[in-house]
Amino acid sequence: MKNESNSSRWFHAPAALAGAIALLASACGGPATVTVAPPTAAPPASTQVEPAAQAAQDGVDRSRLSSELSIYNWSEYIAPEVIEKFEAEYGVKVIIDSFEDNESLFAKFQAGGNPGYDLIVPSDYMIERMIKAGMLDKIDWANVPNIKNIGPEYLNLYFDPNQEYSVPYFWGTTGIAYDTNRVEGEITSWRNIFQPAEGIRGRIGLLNDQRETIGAALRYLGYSPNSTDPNEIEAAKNLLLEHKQYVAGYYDSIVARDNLISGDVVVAMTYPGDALVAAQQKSSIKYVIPEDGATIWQDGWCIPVGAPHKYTAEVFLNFMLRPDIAAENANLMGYPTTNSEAVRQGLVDRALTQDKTIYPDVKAWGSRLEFLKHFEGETQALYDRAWTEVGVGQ
Amino acid sequence: MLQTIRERKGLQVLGLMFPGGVWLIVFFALPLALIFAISFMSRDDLSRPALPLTLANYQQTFDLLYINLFLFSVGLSLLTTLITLLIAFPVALFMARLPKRWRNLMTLLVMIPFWTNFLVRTYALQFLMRANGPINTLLLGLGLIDEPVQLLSTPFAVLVGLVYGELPFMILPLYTSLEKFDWSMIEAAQDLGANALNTLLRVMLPLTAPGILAGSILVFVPSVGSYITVELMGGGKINMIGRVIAQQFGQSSNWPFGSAISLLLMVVVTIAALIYFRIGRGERGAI
Repeated sequence: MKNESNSSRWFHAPAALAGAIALLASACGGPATVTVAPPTAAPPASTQVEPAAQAAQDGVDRSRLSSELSIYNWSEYIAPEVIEKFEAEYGVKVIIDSFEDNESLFAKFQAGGNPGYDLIVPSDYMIERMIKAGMLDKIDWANVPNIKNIGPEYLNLYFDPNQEYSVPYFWGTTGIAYDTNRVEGEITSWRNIFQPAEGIRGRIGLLNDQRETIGAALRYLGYSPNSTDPNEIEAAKNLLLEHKQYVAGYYDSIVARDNLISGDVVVAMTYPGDALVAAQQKSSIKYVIPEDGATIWQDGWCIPVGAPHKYTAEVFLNFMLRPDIAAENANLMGYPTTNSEAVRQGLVDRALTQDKTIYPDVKAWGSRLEFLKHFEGETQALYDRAWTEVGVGQ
Repeated sequence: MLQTIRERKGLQVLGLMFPGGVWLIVFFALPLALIFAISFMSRDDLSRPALPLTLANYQQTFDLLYINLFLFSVGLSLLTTLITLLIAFPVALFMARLPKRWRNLMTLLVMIPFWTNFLVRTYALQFLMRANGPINTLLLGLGLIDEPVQLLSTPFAVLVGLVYGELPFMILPLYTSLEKFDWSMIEAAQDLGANALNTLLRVMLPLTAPGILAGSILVFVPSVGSYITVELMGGGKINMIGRVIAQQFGQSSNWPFGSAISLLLMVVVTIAALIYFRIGRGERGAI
């Protein structure tokens, strides 16, 4: 879910092309003009000058820190500015790989165990699934005292009832973003997606995410997105197959965002942070939580079993939980933060916290905002199969 | 003494076979055996391949849905092969007719795209075909269309991507074939009164058949299992075998089913290769 940056991916394509052309030019005997971007600035040496003083300050034993920290995250789901600050402060080089959906993350760890990541960012139901699969390590809270900054409403949720395995990160909804200039009238519910008006047919983007997209279809049909009834799942599958003719594509949220900006789609199922970035580039883009309800999610930082640098990972988590850092990250990313202390101190943009489409009043929405639940065995297989069939159907 | 030489020779052969053999066993035979085994397994509660053994994965592929998927993948790949052949033949012919010093340059030009990452090239194609990309802008500007045409996420887009990506694999074998072509044959045919079409169909095509066949198999096999092109040009809406396999090993965590489809894909490819060898032998017989 949830991705972010100020430049969209296809803006990189021309740059890459230019690079390719430069390569060709040099290969053909022309002047070689390919410039290689310098690697991320190394942390200033000064951070290592007074380790004792800093250790006293923040309780971090710098001698135990590793030189690298490897993170597996949703693409563009953490502000580079924050990473740079951490690197500068602790002299740790952070390496980030990205995944596109929870199931792919799970598949990666299932395939051959932990490939060497120190931190991963699964969502609620996937945290539960990974805990049950024995893929996560317990977090040593002694190293992460800043967990106190997280609001109690974000702790001890169903997927990690004793708050042993995850540090809450962002939360949010899965709703609809649309271009008000190109859509007649307002988009208010899933009905607008599944019974599309003439003008938006063929210009709808859905998420390439089995639980989210099947979940939306289930909700439109009046069922729970956590339905375990084979008939209901079948009905949702048939709806999606029938509806496929109106869909421009099934995208991950970053591609959906770029397509909204470029105009390839005018309506897209997406997350608020992506919609916000799209709106920054094209002010006519608006995000809504469908009135008939939506998925609510909360992502968590987890340390996978076999993480090579657990202590450094915990230091990183504690850093991310600092109100100033959490607020900076939230302001840049546009997702609702779980760091209540940062909000209380007024560090998070009021334009964000007061926007009811970004920070919905969860109580007022009641059961219309629902977490996705983790399934096992047969039910999971039903969803897997339904989603494959939606993909294969012509 | 003779015997020791013979023994040494045996050792030599073994020694020469060793690297290739190990490679084949480690990177081909073992994974294949694994895939074969997994394709008969079921899944446990955490979606891992597990016992008991079952035929369900193969039964599932005989669902009309997946039969259509195979037919679509094979059909689109055949079309790709045909179109690349139609484009590549004149190009290869042109190259082969050039003076020798120009030929190398042309070969280089055909190969240059390989120096650029395939992914980047496919993104470039995607960029060209966007709703407000250069192609639509041009068509709008010329007044040929009133509003942007949806080019991406269509079978057409995937076809364009495949043809673009596979074209060099058709040009090069054709060129190799045509370069060795004895042009006096054409003169002979013309002297004997064959018109241009007859010359092409009855002289050139049979004599360049090995190149055509090699090119076709080089294009068809990667096309039928292609993944990246389908993913990027198809926008998640168009599916071919390769993408469904990737989905089973990723998102769906259904290794057994993915393995079963993989093995069926291998059957398709093997059939294509058998046809290739059979026709190839026939052609050689004809010559």
